[in-house]
Amino acid sequence: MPRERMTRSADALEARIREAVGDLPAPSPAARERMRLESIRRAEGAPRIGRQGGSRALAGLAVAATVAALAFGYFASRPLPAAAVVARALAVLEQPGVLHYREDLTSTQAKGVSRSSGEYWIDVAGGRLKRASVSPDSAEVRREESLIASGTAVGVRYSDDGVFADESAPYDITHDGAYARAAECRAMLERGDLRLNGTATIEGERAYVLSGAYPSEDGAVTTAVVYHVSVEDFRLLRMETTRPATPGASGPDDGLNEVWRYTGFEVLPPDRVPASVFTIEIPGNAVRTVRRSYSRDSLARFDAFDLYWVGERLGDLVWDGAFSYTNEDPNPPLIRVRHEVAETRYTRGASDPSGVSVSIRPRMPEGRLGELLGNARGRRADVPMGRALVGGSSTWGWTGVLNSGRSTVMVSANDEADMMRVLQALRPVK
Amino acid sequence: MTEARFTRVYEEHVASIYRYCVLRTGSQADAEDVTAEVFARLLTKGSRVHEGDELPWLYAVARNACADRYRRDARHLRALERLEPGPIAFEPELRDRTLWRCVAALRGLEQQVIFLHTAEDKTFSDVARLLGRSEGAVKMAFHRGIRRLRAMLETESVVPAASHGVEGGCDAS
Repeated sequence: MPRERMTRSADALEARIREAVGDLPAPSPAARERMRLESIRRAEGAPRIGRQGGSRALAGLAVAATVAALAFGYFASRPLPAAAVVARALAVLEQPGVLHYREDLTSTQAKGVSRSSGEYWIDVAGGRLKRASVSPDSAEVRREESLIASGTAVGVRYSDDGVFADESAPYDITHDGAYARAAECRAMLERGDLRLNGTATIEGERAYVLSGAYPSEDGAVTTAVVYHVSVEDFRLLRMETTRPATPGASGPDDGLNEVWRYTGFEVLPPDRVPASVFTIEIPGNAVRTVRRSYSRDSLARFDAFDLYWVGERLGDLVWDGAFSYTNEDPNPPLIRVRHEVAETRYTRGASDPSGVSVSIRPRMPEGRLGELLGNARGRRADVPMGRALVGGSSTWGWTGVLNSGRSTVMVSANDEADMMRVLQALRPVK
Repeated sequence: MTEARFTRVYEEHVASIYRYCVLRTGSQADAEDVTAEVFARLLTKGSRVHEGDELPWLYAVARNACADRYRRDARHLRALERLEPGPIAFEPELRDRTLWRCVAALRGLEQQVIFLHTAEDKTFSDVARLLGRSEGAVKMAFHRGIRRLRAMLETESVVPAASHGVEGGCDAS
């Protein structure tokens, strides 16, 4: 072939290649994120993730996730794969709008299995949360709804039409539902107690497996937790917690295994959520329980019955607040409005948040009259004046009860010495 | 390797490596897998690579990773062909499939030079720097590659998917 013709031919071929180049795909933002995360995982020695099927959508989410990952600053000198997954899972919750999802809980313990289902609507920007749950039970089906709006929480229990109102404003709705899970997850990550352990399939959906553990408030029990987070879009799909079983113990949480399955996850624009979602219907004959919290000044004005405490500090124990419950029962024949209980709390701060609780109830008459007025069995109205009844164990904690004036006072603590110290130092608030 | 350096290199080069892997594997899913593998190696071994020399190193790793992938998958692909008669689809929507099949069948250096010069729009000087070759060697590889490509296209000697795991193939011999 003549040289000139060869050159023209080569130029034409090069042009053909350049024209065809436009067909070679560039990775979508979501694919870029998937590859980045997967490369970090493999560098950490994690097993390969199989080929991903399904949609390559959610590009915007991945971009938001990248920003979140950087903003959280989880990456230190070396990338942490668990941190990357958590950052992206948290970014899902940070999308503007109303978060809506369903959760199904299966609780398994030696004594049996129970199930409940719930539905959440959470509007962080609007300060609103609605939770509806159904707990099927052999004796009854209990339905509960709770609504948080304008800093006040209202809950309705339909099995007995009880209404609970919490006037302890403000209520931080990010302490609830999916946000509470996210906070747990973040805390474990920061403690170094969360690891990425490969992948698994949850009902056909590929998921990262994050394993961790968190201590109970008193540090005595460690609960193991496993999260499954969608590989595709980082939704939380499943969470499982398991508390250790103590030989011979039968506490409400001992050996308890709970599995939450999350479905129907969506983030909706607020104007697409029906107004009825963020309302709650309260039956007219409901027993209403109102929870109120008290400052130091308002505690001094409390006069429904005698309050006792140990001041704002007792050694390393610091007063952490007080609240009361008031019951209002409109149902005949016994229509009453009365304070049920008031409680003051003492803690050692973050090192021992469980601390000591001092709960005070109005003292009731003994016998049948006392029971009619609500003095249920076990309130120890029979403890002689001037004496205290104490008891407990290292498993269940320690309790001391005494009667004084118009009140019955109960001191509860994990540690016997703490309980005795507070019991002996009790004095009237006024 | 520090996160800052990894992030910079990843953001700069992931698209090029991904497109190269699509070309070599014929599948976006496989390209994702291989690209992730390439950058995983960057994380574990990249500290030995001088600043600014990452791209040729990434291409070399990508070329080897694609070859490994092909060797690993070859038996599986053949089994698939036996089970489901018919061509194995090239996932991306390519109008000029014959051309890309033939590009994929070129020898390593020729393929890389043609890819970088045309798909990535690099000058011969840039390609030479990226691949650690002289500009003359790069130009020679390009023209040799174009000549071989033209010969393949003229004969269009399509053979069964044996050398690159995509629909049909070009005889690069």
